[in-house]
Amino acid sequence: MKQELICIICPRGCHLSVEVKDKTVTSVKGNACPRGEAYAKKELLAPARTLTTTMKVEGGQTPLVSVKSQGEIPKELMICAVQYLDTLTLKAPVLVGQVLVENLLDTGIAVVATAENLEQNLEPVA
Amino acid sequence: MREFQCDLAIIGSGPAGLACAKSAAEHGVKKIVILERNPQSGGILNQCIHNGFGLSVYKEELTGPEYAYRALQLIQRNFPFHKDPDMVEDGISLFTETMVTYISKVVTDIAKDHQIQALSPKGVLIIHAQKVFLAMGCRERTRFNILTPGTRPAGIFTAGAIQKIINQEGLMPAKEAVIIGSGDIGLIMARRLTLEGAKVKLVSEILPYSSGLTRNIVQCLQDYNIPLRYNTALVDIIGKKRVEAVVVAPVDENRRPDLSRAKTITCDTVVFSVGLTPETDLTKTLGLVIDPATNGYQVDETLQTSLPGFYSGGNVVHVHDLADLVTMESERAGAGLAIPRVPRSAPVYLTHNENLRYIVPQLLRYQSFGPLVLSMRSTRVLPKATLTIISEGQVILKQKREHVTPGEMLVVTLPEVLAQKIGNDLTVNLDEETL
Ligand code: SF4
Repeated sequence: MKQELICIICPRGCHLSVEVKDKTVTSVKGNACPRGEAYAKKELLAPARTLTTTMKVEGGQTPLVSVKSQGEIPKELMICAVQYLDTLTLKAPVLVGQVLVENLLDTGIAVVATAENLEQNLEPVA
Repeated sequence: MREFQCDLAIIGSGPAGLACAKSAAEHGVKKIVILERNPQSGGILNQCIHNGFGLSVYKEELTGPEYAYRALQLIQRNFPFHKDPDMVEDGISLFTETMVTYISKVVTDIAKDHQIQALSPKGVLIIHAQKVFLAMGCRERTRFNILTPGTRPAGIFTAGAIQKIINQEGLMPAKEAVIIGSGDIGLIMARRLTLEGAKVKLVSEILPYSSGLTRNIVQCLQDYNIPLRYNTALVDIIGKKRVEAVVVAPVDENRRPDLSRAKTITCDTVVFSVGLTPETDLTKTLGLVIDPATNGYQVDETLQTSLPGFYSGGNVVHVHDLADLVTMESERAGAGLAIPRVPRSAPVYLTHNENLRYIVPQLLRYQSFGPLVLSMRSTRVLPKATLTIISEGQVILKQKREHVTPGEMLVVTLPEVLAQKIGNDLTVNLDEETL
């Protein structure tokens, strides 16, 4: 079976033509670099994406902190993952790179903060 | 009222302002003041929580907030850094929640003194600066820029406004949305709205192609089965208190909508992603030359505007597609304003053929000094093209380029040996390659 894909690894966006037999990719054409081939194999067998979203923070300078999955999670879990993360509330301070969820929906992938959100009124009132 | 002196005042602390501060400090500029109207540096990067930033500058894929954090860290680690100080000392001082309201140019016998007035939580601030770097970035075009008819109910946003409301304020203002325009921010917000539980019923694009990256059409729309319709115009917005529906219709080749085939789509939210334009209002009274092709400041190769001592970089000069390119341009400005150069006898104004919409810098004022970087944008899609740089009838550089599109900035670097060959004129031509 032949499948058409667009590689999303870099902004060039190569049009890939992929041959699939018995759930294995037998040939990839149209990729300008080897990353395209790896992408095609993964995309057809187990598509995955990096998730970027926000989480609620209590006692911080702003109500949210931006976060990302530290690696790709299965594509079909994206909406579920956001819904789950929306139910949680963190406590300030949150630092850049801090692990907030260790194992997102049993994917083995952690969620880390991509910004900091320090406590409100850090300085004592004079 | 507080009054400070400095060598360089930078207006805006997005990627442009931060990169210029770092580079100017590296080149020996002592007292640098950055004025930022938000509580935090980083500019628009803070609300761009998606990834795809930093591949050129930091050699890794970062989100917007991470990119902003790295840029600030580079300053904090390498130079004396003061946040909201009471006095301006050597190093880089960042004033937050400080809004510049007026810039005046005072030329006295003793010194060229550019005076900047700003409002801060501690009152009025007057800054006397030897040099000024304008880094105000750009703003979004709105429904009025594309002359959209209809009522004015609640529920109409620009993509950047709804991005701020969702990503920074934590509110979710939409249940069913239609997105007008398929620029990258529109595509990214289609995905963001979907992930946060809204239904995006349509992305409507008046052109036959998207100005966004193909990868964003795949990972933002196709991943979530969001329909994208080309050659489709918004013809009406319906609703009294809140948006109730939009009417879209297919357009002919002159972009005229065919109302007999109009369709009504119910929704409570309309998001406009219809382009960006440089935010130059602050300097209107100074009369800086604006390039009609970019809507931004006209600059020379040191990123100096038409007013001596005023430099600029980033999206207020021309709208970039990548933050990395903003950083690199503004680093050149930091060097440009710090290193004295020998002027040419007369400036060289760059010219180009019809396949190019603009070139930055628009002119060369100085004798060749190091490599010369030219940024440009095409007027149309050219699958294969040749870029030729000519001076006084001599071809200085000829390059083949593939996949040239108006959505992707072309950057050409002329090494110093080639830049030295530039005479009294300079032309850049982009030609379609015929096989
Ligand atoms: S195949 Fe390589 S060059 Fe083409 S889009 Fe993928 S990563 Fe980019």
